[in-house]
Amino acid sequence: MEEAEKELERRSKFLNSLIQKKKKGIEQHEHESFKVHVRACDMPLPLQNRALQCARLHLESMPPGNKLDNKRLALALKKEFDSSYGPAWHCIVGTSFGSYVTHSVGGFLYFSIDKVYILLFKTAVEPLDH
Amino acid sequence: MLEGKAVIGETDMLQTMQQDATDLASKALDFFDVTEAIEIARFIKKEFDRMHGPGWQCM
Repeated sequence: MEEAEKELERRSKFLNSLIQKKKKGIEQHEHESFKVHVRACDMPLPLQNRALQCARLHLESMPPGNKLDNKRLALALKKEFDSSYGPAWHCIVGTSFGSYVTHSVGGFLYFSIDKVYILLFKTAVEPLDH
Repeated sequence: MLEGKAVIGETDMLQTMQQDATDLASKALDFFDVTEAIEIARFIKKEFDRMHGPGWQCM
């Protein structure tokens, strides 16, 4: 009788491990299948790649099933670019917006990841008069 | 003239400029369909550049 119980427990653990692996595989696939589209750009390729990578990493770090926090993604991209390429970068993230902006040369990128649209652009900063 | 009250969410702008912004938004919605987001943004941005100097952005 004990042998039978042990065998059942062993099989149960095995099946649970298979289920967990399957779940992880599905999550992994979801993250890999982000559809990235560059819609419009005036930006060197390395910077474009940096922006896409940063956005993708942010989306991948989100727990599955959680709603995207647009503001947090915008903040992450803006801070990343301000610290790496100097001020002043601006970032707008959303699913439905129109825009018309003035940007610095080589500092404009409009792209989408799945249904999220991201506008990232740079403007010249005038020093404050003291 | 489009009916409906403009609601200001957050601001760091002179009262007169705020008034210009809401007036222009109202005007833009008279000129363009509400779905023409880029045209509305273009109109407001260009008018602000003309009235208050260059470098304005509009979403």
